[in-house]
Amino acid sequence: MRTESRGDTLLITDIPTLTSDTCKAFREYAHGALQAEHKFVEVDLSRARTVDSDGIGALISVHKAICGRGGRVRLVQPAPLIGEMFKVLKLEHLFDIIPR
Amino acid sequence: MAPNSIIFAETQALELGCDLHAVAQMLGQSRQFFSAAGLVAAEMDGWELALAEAANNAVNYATPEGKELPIRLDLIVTGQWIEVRVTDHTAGFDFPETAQLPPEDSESGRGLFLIQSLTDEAHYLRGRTENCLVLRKRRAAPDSALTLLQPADAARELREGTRTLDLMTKELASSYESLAAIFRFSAELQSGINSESFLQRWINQLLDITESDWCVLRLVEHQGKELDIVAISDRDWQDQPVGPERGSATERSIEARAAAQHKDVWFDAASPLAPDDPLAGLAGAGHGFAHPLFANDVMIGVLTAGRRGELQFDAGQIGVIQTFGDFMGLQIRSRQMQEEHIRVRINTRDLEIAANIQRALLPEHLPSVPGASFASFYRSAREISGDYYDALPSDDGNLLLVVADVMGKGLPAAMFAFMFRSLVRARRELASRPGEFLAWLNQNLFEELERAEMFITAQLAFLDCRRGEIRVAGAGHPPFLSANSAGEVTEICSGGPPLGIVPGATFPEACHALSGSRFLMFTDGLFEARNPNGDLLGLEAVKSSLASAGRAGESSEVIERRFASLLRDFEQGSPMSDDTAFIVIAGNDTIRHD
Repeated sequence: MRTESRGDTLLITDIPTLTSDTCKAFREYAHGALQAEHKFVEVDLSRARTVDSDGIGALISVHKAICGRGGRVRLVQPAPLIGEMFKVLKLEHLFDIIPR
Repeated sequence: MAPNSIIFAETQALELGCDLHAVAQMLGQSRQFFSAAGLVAAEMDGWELALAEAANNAVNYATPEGKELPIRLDLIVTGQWIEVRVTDHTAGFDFPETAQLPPEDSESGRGLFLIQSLTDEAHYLRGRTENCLVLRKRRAAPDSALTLLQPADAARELREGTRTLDLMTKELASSYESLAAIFRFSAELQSGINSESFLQRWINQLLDITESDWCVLRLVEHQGKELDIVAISDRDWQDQPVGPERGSATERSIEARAAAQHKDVWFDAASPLAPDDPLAGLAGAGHGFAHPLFANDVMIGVLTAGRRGELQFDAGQIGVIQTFGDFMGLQIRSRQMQEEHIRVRINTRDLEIAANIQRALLPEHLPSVPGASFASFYRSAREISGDYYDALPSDDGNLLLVVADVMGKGLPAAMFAFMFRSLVRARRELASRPGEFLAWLNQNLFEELERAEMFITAQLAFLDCRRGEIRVAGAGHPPFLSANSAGEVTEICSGGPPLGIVPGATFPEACHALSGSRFLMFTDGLFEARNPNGDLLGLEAVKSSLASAGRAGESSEVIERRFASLLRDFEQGSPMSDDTAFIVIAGNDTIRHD
């Protein structure tokens, strides 16, 4: 997992999975990298094979951290099933989902 | 399915440590298996997610002892279906029929919703030491290779499939047996067989299907205050009732505890039955559980089953006991409601018959006598009324009018009205002495009325047409009213006590000239009529209306209609609170005066 700051956007990339066993690390990593100037967080899910409900919880925690400052979490190129999952869980309006 | 066809399956059993990292490893192994079994990528992605959710729960909620035990996964792929079983060692939970989503900013609580969204079927079988989540989903693209097996692969497939088939056969066998038994017993119950023998055979069947050593079925009796045994595997065992409410009984009785807590309560060597638990003698040192039975949230009873040896019930057997019990709870409740419905119908029919008889006993027409005309009114607040009136002409041209009101309503009141009528008709030679007649009626009805804690108010009016007078006596009855042509109303007689109150009571008589006056005999339903505000009509309104009738010289029929209208206008459709009967007597000038 890597993070990169680009102006008001925090990029998080190289995420192999976002599941119960990895979401704790993701939370710490993401929240640790978040700075006051970051309004947007872009999570690159193009390599993520699985995102489970705990992984979604971790993404929601990031959303909650920046929505107060008018920010958004952008999910980039999730696998079709993962994108579908956000719709099933009625969370698609919480995130900007950029399909593959 | 073609005749004699066999469904072959790809199976894999996996065991993983109770650890989230082991879950990740398991997901990879499962994917390899699914891939080899021919699942398409989208199916594998979905199953990977469903498995992750199921296994995460098994890890996160394992009991302290359960954390030391492996989590087991059975993966089964047939040509049509994929089935996954996850056996956990958690305390178990009530699997919702339809999982609900949490608030959108919640960071947890979506696992079950996802599992149900990703599968066609999800069942959770709860056991004492382990639970099994069974997930099934129809394949996206049925694989013909799995149904048309090559001969060279048959032996390998059969070996791999044997274990799965054993599992499935065992479960199917118990399911078939329990289903067959449920249908058979359900049909028997509908046919109205003896309930006790039916439930006893039901218990014995359950014993066989679930390999239990004993079973006890208690049903709620005595307005929910007791749980009484209705069927037991060991019929020689002596028992005592158990109270289902919270209290001391729940401390010693596992059945009472299951009833009070509305959930299964288990016992075993680690948490044995209390020494004074009513089941202690039956259960011995074994294990088992008490399962409360409900129907539409109504407590029906408790089914308890156990084994005396060390072999635990498996999840399937527990499921059969619970399902069997729940189904029987519904059947028993349905039977109870049917019986209640029939009882109500019989009672209603009885009341209708009694009401018809009672109406037939009222005089169809009031007789005509020289010197007076009559009209009557009668209505009942229920099917059967305690109000009664009669008119008994005598051979010498006179007439006895009777109005009575038996305390209460329904069948008992009607029965006493019948008795009263029979006695009056049996001694009509006393008609000319109404006070004496009431004393005789009191004497002959006193014992029965006192025993039934009932009483009768009555009024007898003897029209002596030869003398042109009316002699009246009353027993605790509303006054006999008279109105003359000047509109003056007189209460002629309120008399003695009601019949059945004072033994040996006497009843004074009063006398009034018949000519030119209007008279009213009535029961209390007339002046106790209520309007929609709950106000009483009152005696003064009755008197006032009668005064108007007297002044106008109205006929008996007109006066009857006057009071019927008075009631209708005052009540304005309010439900009747009491029965009402009245007789109008209009004296005229044609009475002979000897």
